[in-house]
Amino acid sequence: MRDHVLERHAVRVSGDPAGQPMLFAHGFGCDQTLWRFVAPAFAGEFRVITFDYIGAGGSDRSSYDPERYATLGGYAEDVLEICRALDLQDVVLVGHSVSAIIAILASIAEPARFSDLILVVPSPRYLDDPPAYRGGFTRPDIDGLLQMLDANATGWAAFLAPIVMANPDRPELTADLEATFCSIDPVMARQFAEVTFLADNRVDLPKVTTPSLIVQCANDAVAPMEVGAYMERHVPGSRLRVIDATGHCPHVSHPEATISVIRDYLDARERDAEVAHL
Amino acid sequence: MNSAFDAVPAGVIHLSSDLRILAANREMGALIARDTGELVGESLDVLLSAPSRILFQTHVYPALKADGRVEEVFLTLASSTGDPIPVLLNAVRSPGPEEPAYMGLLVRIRARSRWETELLAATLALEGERAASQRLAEELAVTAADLRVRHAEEQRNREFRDAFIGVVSHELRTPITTIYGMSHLLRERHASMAPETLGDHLGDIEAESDRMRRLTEDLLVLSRAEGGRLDVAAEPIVVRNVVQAAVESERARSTTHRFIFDAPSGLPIVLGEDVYVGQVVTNFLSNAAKYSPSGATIHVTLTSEAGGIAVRVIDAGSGLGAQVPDRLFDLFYRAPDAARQAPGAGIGLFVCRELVQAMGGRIWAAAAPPPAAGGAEFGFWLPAAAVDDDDGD
Repeated sequence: MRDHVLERHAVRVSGDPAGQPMLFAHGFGCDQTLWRFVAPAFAGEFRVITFDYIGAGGSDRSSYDPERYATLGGYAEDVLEICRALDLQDVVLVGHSVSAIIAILASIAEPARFSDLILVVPSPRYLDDPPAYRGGFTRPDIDGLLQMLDANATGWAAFLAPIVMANPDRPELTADLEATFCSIDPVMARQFAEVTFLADNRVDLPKVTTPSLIVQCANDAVAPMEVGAYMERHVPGSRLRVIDATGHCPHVSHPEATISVIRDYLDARERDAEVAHL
Repeated sequence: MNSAFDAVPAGVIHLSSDLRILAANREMGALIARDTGELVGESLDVLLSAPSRILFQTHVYPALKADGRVEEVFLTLASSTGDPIPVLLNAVRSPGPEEPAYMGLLVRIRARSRWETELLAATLALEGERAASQRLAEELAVTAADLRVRHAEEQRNREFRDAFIGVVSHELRTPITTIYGMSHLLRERHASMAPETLGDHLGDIEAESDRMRRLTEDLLVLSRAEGGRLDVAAEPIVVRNVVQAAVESERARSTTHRFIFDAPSGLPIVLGEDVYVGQVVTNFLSNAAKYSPSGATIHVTLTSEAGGIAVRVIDAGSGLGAQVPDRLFDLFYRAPDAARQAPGAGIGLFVCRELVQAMGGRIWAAAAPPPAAGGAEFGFWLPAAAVDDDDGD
């Protein structure tokens, strides 16, 4: 097990060392490499930090702790630990998908540390809660997803691990799995899916005091438009921007549009601050 | 071309960069029991079951976008009949001058999927059972360890009880026998007894009663120590006075030994209970008398040492041998030589150690210091009470 939090999370720091910190948190299903279409655009003026959650990408998989990650709070604590390790202040925290909620939890725990939250395609609850709330999914849908994770290579790997993976004569199997792009530890992936898609963080939204931008895709099968609108209604002081995009990964499919809405938001904040100063 | 496209025995779709269906072959429609013509222009989402939509967006699309291809992805399609159709998906980013688009091949794996599901379920169940038996084994190990500890404890208690009963009955029987015998004798013959004989007998009764009294006091401390209830009050004690009183009393008791008491003035005050300090000294003194030849001198010294007071009782006996036994202060322990020289219960030194430790001190036994040629030194040290400078009145 690697000792240091920065090593455990394969933290990468780039951009302007003297710039305001901009911390990018990846969502469920992949790792920090997904930010590579967006994060470099901010390196000119910001100190850009990306990382992997434990179990994802280049993180230290041996330090995965199922108890810690039984709730999103454990992930929020990871974000705060990274901030503490780098002594980050006045942070622009960018979270994709479930990490948008993780960002909210981190900002509630330490509001003074964050200047802004950029919440990319967030959803406070994926399950429908009829009649008032529609998250887009039912319990059987999520059970289906968990089964599907099991039935895909990662799932098989997890359950065959004791039989196949532990076989010292076949190291290439484990190596294969780890070499895959967006590689995630199967055990982590399954628990992360459960924690993410069964969570209900609606009560946390009004507790946010950090200014925030909600980035929504016009056509997202995972976080539908009405969820974005719900977020805007319930997160105090938030602004909603909709990208004309299909899918749940605008930072991958529409990086320019994503960069542009984030930049607009940050510029407007700066202008507001200047006006307030005059 | 179109007929060849339609003749492929698997679903083939061509997707735009924002995942709209540009073209699909006949088999693609057949897979989900829909007319192929209806699919064109729709979003890929309409083909996928709800769980597959999440998996596609979170896992497949990012990989496809970054690596340019995915292989053997298990998904389920949403058919018009409502049954999810299990398929394996291979997809590539199609090369071409226009904006990136994707080609996908979907192979139905109905039979295979059923077997895989069963196998997975069986593996999961097996894993569950394995985990359950491991938990059970761990619980059992904990219980077994617990039982071993309890067994050892009971064994110890049993040994203690046996030893206690043995020692106590033996140690108490001896003085009682004497007291009883002497009293009986006195009652029968006191009228005809010479006054010196009478005095001797009464002296014996007194000595034996005193021995019993001291043994009872030791037993009281012992039972408290064994029960973990040995609480010693922290009262200020002038050790010099307590030791001196104990020496006087031993001097009166033991006419066959000389006692030299040596204590400087200006010794610090210690915290504890004078009765207990007295009990420790008395035990040391009676031991010293017991193991020293008649007429020998026993030295008692007090010194100010290491922030406290050291009390030493140095006898003129045969000593403790080349090496002081580690277990000297253990309960019921009797050094081999000691057992030959004098009766004893192996309680006194244990009680001394418990009392000294309860008062925050330490206890030791060593060979008597030079110039003595033999003999033993028994000592203890108690920390001085902290001087409270603020206490002005």
